[in-house]
Amino acid sequence: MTIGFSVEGSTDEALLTGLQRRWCPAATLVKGKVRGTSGISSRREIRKVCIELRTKNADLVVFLRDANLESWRTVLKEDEAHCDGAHRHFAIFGVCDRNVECWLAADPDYIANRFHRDRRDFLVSNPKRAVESTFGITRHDKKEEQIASFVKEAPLKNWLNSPSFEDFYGKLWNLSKRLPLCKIENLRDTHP
Amino acid sequence: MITRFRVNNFKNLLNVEWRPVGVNLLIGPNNSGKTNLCQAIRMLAFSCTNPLDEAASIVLGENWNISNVYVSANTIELDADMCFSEGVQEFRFAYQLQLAVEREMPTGKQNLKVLKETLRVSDGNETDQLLIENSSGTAKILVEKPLLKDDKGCHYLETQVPRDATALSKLFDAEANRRALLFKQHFGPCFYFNLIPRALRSPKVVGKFPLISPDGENFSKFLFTIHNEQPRLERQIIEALKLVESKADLFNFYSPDPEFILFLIEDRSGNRFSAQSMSDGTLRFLALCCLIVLMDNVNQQGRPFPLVIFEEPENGLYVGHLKPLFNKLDFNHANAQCIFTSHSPYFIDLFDSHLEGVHVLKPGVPSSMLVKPDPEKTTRLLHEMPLGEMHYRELLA
Repeated sequence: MTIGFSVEGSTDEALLTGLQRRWCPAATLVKGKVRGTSGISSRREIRKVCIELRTKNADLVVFLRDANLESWRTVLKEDEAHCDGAHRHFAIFGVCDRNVECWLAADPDYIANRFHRDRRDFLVSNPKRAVESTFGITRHDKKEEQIASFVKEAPLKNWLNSPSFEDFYGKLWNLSKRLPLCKIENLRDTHP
Repeated sequence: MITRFRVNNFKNLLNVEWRPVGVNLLIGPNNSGKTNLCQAIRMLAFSCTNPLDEAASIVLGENWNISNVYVSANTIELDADMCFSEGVQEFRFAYQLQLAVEREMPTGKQNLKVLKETLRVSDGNETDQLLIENSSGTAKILVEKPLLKDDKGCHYLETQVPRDATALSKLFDAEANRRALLFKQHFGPCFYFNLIPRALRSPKVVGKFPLISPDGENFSKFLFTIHNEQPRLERQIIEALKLVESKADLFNFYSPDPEFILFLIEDRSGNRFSAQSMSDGTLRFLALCCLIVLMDNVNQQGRPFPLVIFEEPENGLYVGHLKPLFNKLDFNHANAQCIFTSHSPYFIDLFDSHLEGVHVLKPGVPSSMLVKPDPEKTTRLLHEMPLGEMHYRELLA
């Protein structure tokens, strides 16, 4: 099984890797290519990434990006509108509210306990710097492996507090019925 | 025209077989072996006229890393099948060269010796005929003229040849070794260009190059010769150059002594621009114009042109100029054969109606792999994106 993906940065990629190891360990991740570096470019490239990854035999394509200062729902709607009918059935769009670090810090107690930090560090509207310093992310070391392990082991049911993650998870859950090699946990059943 | 080329144990190429067509595009990421494949062809071509060590020095610039470092084999194999027509007669040659690689200690230099060499020909009327068979310096060579006055037909001459050179390189008698020399004439002079602006600007005359040197030295002399001997060709070059220098009108030269030629472009108002004042891109564009116009002219006259290899011709050129410039190349001309290497999606796009000429090298250890893109899949994808983008997205191989 092949999972295609298109993300904005190394932290997003590490998060997806963690989810793949957790729910679809037999799958191979293949990264789609995007010409340009801006959000406008990545939106324009959605169709081509779908064609590329379909040609590379991907069973599904995951697009993950940050909303930054926009509303994640607006960004999501616009991204989905750029995906034509021929590819909608195998494309999943996820938009993190503000940035992917918001998802990583969606369970402040867990991340604080695991890394012996103060939970209040993560109770901010933009936890990017707190998460980066927690993992020790620098320009030259993006700590992808540590982030992937963290995602693989974290109690993700608590991440459902984040509406944008819940939306993303919901799509994955729906799609998992079509992907026999993926065993996605039912996070909602155990959600308090 | 080379119709098949096989290389084994040469740099990062192990048992790679290639079937080039007239105009070829070799693409692949850095370190995939595009240059090495071109070097292997040049190595075989240069060995037709030069001692092996000299051929290696000219082509590779060194003698230390000729064979593949990941395998312990001590032989290099280079084979080429070539066909061309002369008048109504068609010749098909098969040349095979097997070289022994001996490492000299303590320098580590690799010395090359001929282990086996065969040259065969078929010309439509006859079946396959052996022209040269050389086994470790003991050679059997077909003599194509009667030995005695009333003798009919050909005979084989058995002789010893030095092992540090091919038997083919030692043949010079146009009558006795007519077809072997025909092969040598067509395959031997292979041109390779990796143009460097600094070399193109050099006013120094380098006598040994018939055109311009691989990096572009002797360009002034080349232009000077065209100016003096082929004014029509010069006019065509000026016309092609107008794409980037719309006011260019003629070439002018300043040559205080025979070893120094400085070329200048003159516009209609008489203003002169020296090579030194031109941008790198303009200079490379001019050099490419010259070579492409020259090749096209030779082709139009029906004369065969030696194999020409261009490394990354798009370097420094505005992408909008690539199509008008390379449209001058006749992709379907039977006598022309050229090989381009490129990384530019815009240059690769120019091959979308010529997919049979596209070849992709995929890097690997111990050897790179040569892959032909699936024409059906590629044509289908052309509805969605240009060829260059397919390469960028790694959809061609």
